[in-house]
Amino acid sequence: MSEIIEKIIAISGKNPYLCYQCGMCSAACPMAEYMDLLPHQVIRLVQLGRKDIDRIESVWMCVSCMACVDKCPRHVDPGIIFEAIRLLTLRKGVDKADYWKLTDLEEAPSMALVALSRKMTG
Amino acid sequence: MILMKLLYYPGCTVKRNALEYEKASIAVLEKLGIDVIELDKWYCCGALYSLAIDDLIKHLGAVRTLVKAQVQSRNVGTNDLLTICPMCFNVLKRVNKLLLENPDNLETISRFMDEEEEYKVGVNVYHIVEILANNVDKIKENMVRELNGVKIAAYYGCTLLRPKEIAVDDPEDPHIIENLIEELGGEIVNYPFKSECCGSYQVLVNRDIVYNRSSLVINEASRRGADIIVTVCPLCYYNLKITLKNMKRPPTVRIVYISELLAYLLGLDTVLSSETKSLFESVFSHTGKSM
Repeated sequence: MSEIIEKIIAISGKNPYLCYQCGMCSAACPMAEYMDLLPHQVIRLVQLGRKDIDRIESVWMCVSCMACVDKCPRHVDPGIIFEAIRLLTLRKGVDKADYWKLTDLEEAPSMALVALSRKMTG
Repeated sequence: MILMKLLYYPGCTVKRNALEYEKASIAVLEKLGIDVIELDKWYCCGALYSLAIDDLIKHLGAVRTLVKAQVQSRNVGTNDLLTICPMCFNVLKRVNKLLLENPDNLETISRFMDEEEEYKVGVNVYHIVEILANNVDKIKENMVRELNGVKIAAYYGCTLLRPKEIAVDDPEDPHIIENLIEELGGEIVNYPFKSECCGSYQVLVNRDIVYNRSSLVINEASRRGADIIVTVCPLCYYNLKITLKNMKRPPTVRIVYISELLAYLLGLDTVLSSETKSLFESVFSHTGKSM
């Protein structure tokens, strides 16, 4: 098993190899249409041990709504594996949020900023 | 379950962007004879639950808040902690569940907190819709206005319902808000997008995502005849409102917090902004005429 997969499993506590590619996660995902790869495709690449898995943009669209986690029949829980993939980047000290480019900062509820910071900064 | 006293955790948004939600919520609960006691001190919950199993430190804010609730519960005489923000509800309830099921995690976290007493995992986290649903009879007794004819669609969003282990209701077919409104004599609009994501914090990155997601909810509720969409979440509320404002031909449906609707029905007009009050007056008089 590649080091990157080992890390993903250690961070998420989930087993990507249980996935049988049913696509339920991608059907349930409210952000799927804005993703470069659909959730089930991301899990497939994890299974294949792709070393460039941390370059997938889909994980930054995910808002952790838990729709895929509730529906996954194999308890692979893509949304939780997505967090592990985000952390591969964030734990290197690289932030994905660019605070200078955010819009609506004054008007939007502060929970939006806290939530975004939780998911897109280390 | 009859709760007469509740500890209360507001969270950041309620104190900054959703003051009207808090004002209406507390007024409604007090009208029902429920004493709402805000925690003397509280910390940021983190808004979204940290999903990494190897990084417990991100739960610390929530644990500290639960410890504060535990301390205050001894003076107040209740272990029940009220939230009105569903993200706060979601995080506090999941952290509580994690600690209950994983005593070793609690031990690790406790080692960070040598100032505070140890958390005994005895605090019960509730969202206001659960409290309202359990007090429907009291609401009925105190109503000064009727819901006659106003068509209401409930919008739950994500964090009250998912993951299913901490949900206030069946995430696939939620009806806790609908049941409440029907009990009060209201008319419900059923539609399939009541727990679809509004776009959440992506509003800060790309508004178009929120416009797309939220218009799905607004259009479907409206197409099925809703006069009002009731929400429970300040972020959903904001996203639905800006989406409605951005529409080329916006439907006439209005977005309100559930507590504001109940405050209006209970005659607590002084806690409503003049804008919200006239919104209700216009919706209620309009449906009155058409009947």
